[in-house]
Amino acid sequence: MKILLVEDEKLLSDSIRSALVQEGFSVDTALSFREARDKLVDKIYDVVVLDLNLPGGLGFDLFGYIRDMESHPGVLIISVRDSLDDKLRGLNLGADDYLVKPFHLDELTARIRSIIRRRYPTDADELVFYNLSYDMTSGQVKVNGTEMHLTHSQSQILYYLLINKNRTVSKESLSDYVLKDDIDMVDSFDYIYTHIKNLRQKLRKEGSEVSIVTVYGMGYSLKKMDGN
Amino acid sequence: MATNQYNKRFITKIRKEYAIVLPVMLVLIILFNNLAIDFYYKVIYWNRFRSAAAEVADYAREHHSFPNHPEVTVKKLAPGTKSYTYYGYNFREIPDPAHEPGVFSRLFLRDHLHNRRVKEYVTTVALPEGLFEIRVAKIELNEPGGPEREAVLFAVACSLVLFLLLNWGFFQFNLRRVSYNLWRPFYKNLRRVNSYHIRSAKPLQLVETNIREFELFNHAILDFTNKTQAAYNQLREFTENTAHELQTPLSILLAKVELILKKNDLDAANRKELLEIKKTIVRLSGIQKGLNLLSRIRSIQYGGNVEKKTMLITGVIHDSVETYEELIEYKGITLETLEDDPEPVATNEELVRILVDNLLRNAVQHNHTDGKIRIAVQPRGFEIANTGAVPESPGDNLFARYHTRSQDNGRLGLGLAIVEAICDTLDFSCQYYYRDNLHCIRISWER
Repeated sequence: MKILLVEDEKLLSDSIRSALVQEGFSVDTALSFREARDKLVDKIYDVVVLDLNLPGGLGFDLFGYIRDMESHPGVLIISVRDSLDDKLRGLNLGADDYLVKPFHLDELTARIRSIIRRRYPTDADELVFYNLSYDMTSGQVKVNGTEMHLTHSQSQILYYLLINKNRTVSKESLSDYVLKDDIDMVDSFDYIYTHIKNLRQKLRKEGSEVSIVTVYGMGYSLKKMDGN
Repeated sequence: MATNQYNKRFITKIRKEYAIVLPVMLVLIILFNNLAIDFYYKVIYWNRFRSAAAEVADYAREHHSFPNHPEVTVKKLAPGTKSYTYYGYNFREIPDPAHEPGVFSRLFLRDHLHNRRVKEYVTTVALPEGLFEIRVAKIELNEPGGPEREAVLFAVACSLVLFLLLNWGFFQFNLRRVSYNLWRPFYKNLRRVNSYHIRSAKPLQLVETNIREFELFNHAILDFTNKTQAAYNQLREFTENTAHELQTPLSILLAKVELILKKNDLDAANRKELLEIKKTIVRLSGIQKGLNLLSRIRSIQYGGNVEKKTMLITGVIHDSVETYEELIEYKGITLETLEDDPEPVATNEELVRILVDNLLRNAVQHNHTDGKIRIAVQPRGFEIANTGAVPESPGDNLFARYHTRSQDNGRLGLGLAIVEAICDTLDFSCQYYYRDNLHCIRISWER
């Protein structure tokens, strides 16, 4: 999967790039409006990660070039602008997602993955991991075809673990993903811990083949159960 | 000079009015003069005749005879005659003063050779001896000291008083008008200055006046407000930009820290330190986001065009409660919602959502485990009450007090500043009080 990262801040661009490369993407970077435009004309990308404030122009103005591309890449806007107007404008122009800076790298890769999944749907709109499935449109979670009743937070935790399956997800990024702005309203680790405990119980009860593993000092990971 | 022009114009106007008002006043005074003379004869002079007749009657009752006076004639009436009184002019033959110089001397008003115009007062009086007619007659004397002179003096005095009263009234009226006209631009501008807000996009506009002193003062005020507003705008834009600018370095920091955390060769102690750094960055970014929101609200207020639509507050509250439902449940908080016939209100939905969200968020965040939240929706407002830390001082000023608190992450002060800004923008009133162990914040759209 080829990604074009349009971000004028060299330091940030480097970090995002190495994070994405670690995740197995091939990344091209553009540090200015002109560079981004030239690369969009010359090459083919699956996803464009786009900053809005660029030297030489606004990110919004690149959408013309993006639309002209044959590959119809997905667009993820990353911006410091958090007003509803900017978000709506970006989404109306054809962006797939909008991420407000600063963001967690895990969150960024998760969003990129979900864009790619939407671009190249594999199994309808479902995330499947052994006998656990997550319906991306309705948010339904099924084990062996029977629906599990989860709270909103639990379903979000499971989704986040599913898109990062077999990888370790830190408690912080998990709590950040689930609680977002509400993160300082509760003891977030305890909150996540409580929900994970309940999730584990529910998964065990439904006879799921996967379980949430605690990786000491790192976080959690969704893995196939050992033994049976 | 502008002042002089203004004064001249105004004074010319008053002069013109005087040209009309003075003749009107004169006509009034002439009419009044006649009325006064008439009044003198009909009331004052008549009264003298009446008292003279009464004196005669008293004398007769005491002495059983009538006094002998040339001006008084008495006649016995036939029994059964009805009593009567009249007063008026009459012409009668009067003895020539030349023959009787002692009584009526120096007469010169003659209507006929011997007939004189007399003023007569005739009345009847019942005495033990029977019914008598008393007739008091006075010859019209056109000489100094006579009734004519008294009447004229009386009338002139009355007219003079009237003239003075009218003039005084007109003077007072003009004085008021002058002062009203003079101060009108001042009060007009005072109203504008009072309703002026530094956060409004438009600069202060003042009515131009011809009065030099006011104009000087207006210039000073305009100069002052324009400078202040320019400084405020600069600061506002600076804050807005800074809030945005700061997010980029924060993003870099966060990304770098996360990259290090992804490396597997970290020991637990270093990892913990890095996690602390990361947490701090997230917190800082949260504060920044709050500041961003605050400056955005202020910009909306500054723009002055708050989009409004009629809506029910209950919907917004339900949505907000839904958002925090899990957290409320997690903390074991009892939620109580009371609805008392809420009325629809025309307001900005986005801002109201942020407002309700912030208040409910505070109520959840600053609550203790197994606490309580009570939301009461009233016809023209709502109230969110929650249990929480007992305030150190019983003061009701939450907004001032919480700013100085350090243990909350700076979010509450910011959250309340956002609440305050939204209330300002939407013209809501916002009250805080602590009662029955509950922190209550009441928002109402009835100022």
